[in-house]
Amino acid sequence: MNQGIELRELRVGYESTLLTVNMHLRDEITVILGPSGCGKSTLLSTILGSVPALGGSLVLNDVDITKAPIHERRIGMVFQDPLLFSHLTVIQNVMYGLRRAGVSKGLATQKAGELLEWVGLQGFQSRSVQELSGGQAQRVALARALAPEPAVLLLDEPYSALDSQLRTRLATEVAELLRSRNVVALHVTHDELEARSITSEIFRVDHASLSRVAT
Amino acid sequence: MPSVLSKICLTIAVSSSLLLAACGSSQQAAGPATVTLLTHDSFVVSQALIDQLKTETGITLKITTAGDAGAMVAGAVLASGAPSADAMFGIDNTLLTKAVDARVFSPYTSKNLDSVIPALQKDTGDGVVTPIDYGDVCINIDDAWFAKNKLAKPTSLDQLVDPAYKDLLVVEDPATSSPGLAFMLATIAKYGDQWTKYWDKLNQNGVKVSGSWTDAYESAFSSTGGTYPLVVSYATSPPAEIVYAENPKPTKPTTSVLTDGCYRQVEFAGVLRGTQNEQAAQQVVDWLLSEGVQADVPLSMFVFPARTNTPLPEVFTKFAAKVPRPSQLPASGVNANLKKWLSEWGQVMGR
Amino acid sequence: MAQRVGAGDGPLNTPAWLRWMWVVPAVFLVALLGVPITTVLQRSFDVGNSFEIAPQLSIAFSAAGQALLSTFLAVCIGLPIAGVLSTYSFKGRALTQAIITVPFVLPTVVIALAFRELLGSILVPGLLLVVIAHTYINLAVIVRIVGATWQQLDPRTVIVARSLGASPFRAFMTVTFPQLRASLASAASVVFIFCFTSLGVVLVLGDSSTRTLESQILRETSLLLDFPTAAITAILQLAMVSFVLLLGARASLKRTAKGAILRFSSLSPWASPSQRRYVLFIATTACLIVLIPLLSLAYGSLHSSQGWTLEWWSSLTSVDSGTTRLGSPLGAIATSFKYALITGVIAGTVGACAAVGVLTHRLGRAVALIALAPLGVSAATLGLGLMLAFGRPPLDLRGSDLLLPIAHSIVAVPLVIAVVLPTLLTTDRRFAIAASSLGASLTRAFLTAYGPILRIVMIAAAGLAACVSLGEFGAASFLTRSGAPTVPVQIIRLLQRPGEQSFGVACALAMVLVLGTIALVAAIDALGNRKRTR
Repeated sequence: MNQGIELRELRVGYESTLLTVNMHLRDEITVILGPSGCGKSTLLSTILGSVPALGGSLVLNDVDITKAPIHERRIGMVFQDPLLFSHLTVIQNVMYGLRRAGVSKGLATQKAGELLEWVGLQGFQSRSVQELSGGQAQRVALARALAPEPAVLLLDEPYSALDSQLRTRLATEVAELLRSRNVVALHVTHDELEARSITSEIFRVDHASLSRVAT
Repeated sequence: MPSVLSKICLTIAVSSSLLLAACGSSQQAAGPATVTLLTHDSFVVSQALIDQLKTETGITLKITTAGDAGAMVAGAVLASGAPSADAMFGIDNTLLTKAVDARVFSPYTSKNLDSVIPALQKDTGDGVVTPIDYGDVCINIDDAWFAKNKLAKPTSLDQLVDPAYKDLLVVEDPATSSPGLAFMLATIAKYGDQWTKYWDKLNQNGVKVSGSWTDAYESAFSSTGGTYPLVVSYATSPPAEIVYAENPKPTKPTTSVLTDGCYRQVEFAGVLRGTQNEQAAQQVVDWLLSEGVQADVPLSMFVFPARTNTPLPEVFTKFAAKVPRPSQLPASGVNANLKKWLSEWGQVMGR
Repeated sequence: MAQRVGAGDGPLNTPAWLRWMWVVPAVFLVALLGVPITTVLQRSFDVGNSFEIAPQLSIAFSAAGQALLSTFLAVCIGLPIAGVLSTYSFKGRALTQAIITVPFVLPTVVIALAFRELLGSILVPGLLLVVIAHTYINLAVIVRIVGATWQQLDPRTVIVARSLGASPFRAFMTVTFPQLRASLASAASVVFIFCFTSLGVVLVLGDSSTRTLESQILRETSLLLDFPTAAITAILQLAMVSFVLLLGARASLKRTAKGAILRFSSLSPWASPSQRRYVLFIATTACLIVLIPLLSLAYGSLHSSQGWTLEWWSSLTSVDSGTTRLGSPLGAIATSFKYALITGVIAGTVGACAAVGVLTHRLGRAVALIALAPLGVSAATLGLGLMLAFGRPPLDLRGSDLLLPIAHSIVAVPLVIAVVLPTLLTTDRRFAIAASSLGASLTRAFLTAYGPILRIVMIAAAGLAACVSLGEFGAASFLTRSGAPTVPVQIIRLLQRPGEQSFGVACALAMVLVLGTIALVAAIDALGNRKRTR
């Protein structure tokens, strides 16, 4: 059994920025570092399924998911903006994925409550998402993405909307949280400091492919 | 309270609208020699005759239209005594009583009334209107269809309930169409108390009801592409088919008229009560009955002139049906019973 | 709430003269709507005072059912189209949008004519045909109003929902739909009102089961001359429409009050082949739905019993010349466009003042809400009222080319406001405050903040009003008027007489109207898109 997600000769991007990626992610956080516009966001969108791959394949736990629709991939995503559902409360946001997975309301409420506690937002359950600060909102987005227990979590510059101090602190904190749960995660950023505060598994976008950064 | 409010409103309206009016209006300063004739959308007369009126009497005729005849009369009744025009043309015998009761007209009949055909001379709403033209609403027949299907053309209303003529007739809803109403009145005139029974039989014989003349004639009638070879229309529809055909015009129409069960519609003109131009308005009513206008009427509006001995165009003498005994109901009776009749018709026809 | 300074509810700090702008629409409403309506109602009860109400109530009930059904269908078909047009950028998007809008601004009689040509041999007049025609006409209302909101939703929220396990349909129902609910409510209430008060479609394509209060008013007025009953019916209709309007307004105001700041996001090109197929399918279907009935008109204008012909088009200049039909059909086209221009100016000005009023004075919002009332005023009542108030001495506007544009403006202003209001309510006031704190004068600050958006919105609104004027028939048919008839009136006159020529020329005239409207709408959209790319 080949655990984790494998990117085999995966070709992503548009005409100007083509990227071919070979990568195997398992039980760890990997960071991709690169300037904006280098195609790393497109890479995440391709893994997520919102942008089709131009070639190669994507294998998750031995299953080829290159052509699978987004909602059948079990891949979570946290964007640059929290993108919370504004018509739902904080806990309803976290419960969203659980309810889609068919978890009963009672159990979903309990699990979502635990996740909120885990990201340090106990007592925010019934708040409106518009009352949250930027950092709080991004933590809710993280809890929401992790609730249905995705096989892989993708993070696309998740802290770039925050100020630099908060960014580094939150990055370290979240990395620890993810490790404590053994989440496979792929984190994309342009901030080297942020990258180094997360992991030593850093790749850099380099001439249409990825190369490991020496530590 | 409402009157105070509306007075305030009116003050604002007048002051703001006067400003607007000052920008565009050139008619404001016109003298008494201008007569405004209120009429319906179907009114047509040759421009040359209007120019002739001007040279002969000095009267400038301004024509104002107000929707169909019903809309026009509705407006005139509400404005009774303070009219929006000086004279009105186009009110017919079904609407006349309401307008007379509402004192829309000022007493005047044309000085040429004695030139009107005798049957129409008495129709003056007690001396307030003058008959100008008339036309008959009749069932039209698609001759080609009957020839092709080797079926005898019907000659009376009675035959239409015969199973041989099943699914062949299209009529208009009397509540929404003027010829439809006229045809209903024709059946009332012909069958009296038994008229709803007749409609019941028509219904069982597959009569189709259209919402408007346009729908019935231009779409359901087999002569224009539909499937019904009998349609309620006008006695003058066959000549109109020729006049409004594609060039080169055909030499004879492909439709004819069933002259039984026709209802006669008369159109009147009168002077509106409250006009500032009483005398000139009377002259316009006279003009409408003049030889020139009367000769123009057939090809302009496809109706017959009310004036005797008016020469008719060839297309009329050849193809327009002459109805020997048209039906008519007393205007006051129509006025009193219309609502009841319409609802009875609706019940029978399930509409 | 420090981060939302100035986006709140209080009127903006503005120069005094701008704060009085709400007076303009208020005077417009009182003078040109209030006066005529009170006049006609007063006169109606002067003529008599016995009336019946029971039959009208049952008609109101069945008309409401018909309107609900039509609205439901328009929403079901309109939503996917709105989604595609406001999510993806693709070649032909602007044209598709213009084409969708055409049925709404065409005269209902023309549409009824087209449908009869197309479906007359398959369907008998009745509920089904009426509902189909109503759905067709009102698609544009759903696509335009809901699309405007949809365009401002971040498409990534849907991707988030999908990544959490929601199928495309679940994602729509649980994420997109709740955010569209407010604009959908107001769009649906407008559609409901149009179907509930429908006249032309009901007369041509309906039967007794599809009567509306409006058709009943027409019948009481111009057939039975029962004015008190007509007046009561008109009041009943206005009351019911006002109720629906209030429901719709409450739903959309609740949304704005909640302070959800919609974000602007650009349209995305389609990503996957399946999306591409979906977009193409929806856009093509939408265009076909709209165009096929209109093609039957094109066919009618080029065809006679002898085969193909250009005679109907060439007779556009000559039919009825030399008579008091006052000019050829070509003349009617000129008249229609002249009236459309005047209407655009009047309605655009009133709409602009109403918009500024909404921004600058508490009463402005109330006036804007009341300005929606004409949607429920019976065309027959309005037409008669205008005639009584402004169509006879001492105040006779008939000769001034103003009476008809005024009637058209009254009909158009509610639509103008419906277009302008949501945009203005979501405009960020921080610009103005920032500008005035930089030392600009109040007037200047206001214009800096709102000038560009006001200008664009007004052009669009005036264009919309012009389109309405081109197609308006209801009130126009009741207004006494001198001078040349408009195109819709001319079309109806032609249809009311026998002969191939009448029908062919009517179809040709209708095609002129269709093409003119497409051009006008495309031009308006182009102006609107200029705003977006800035």
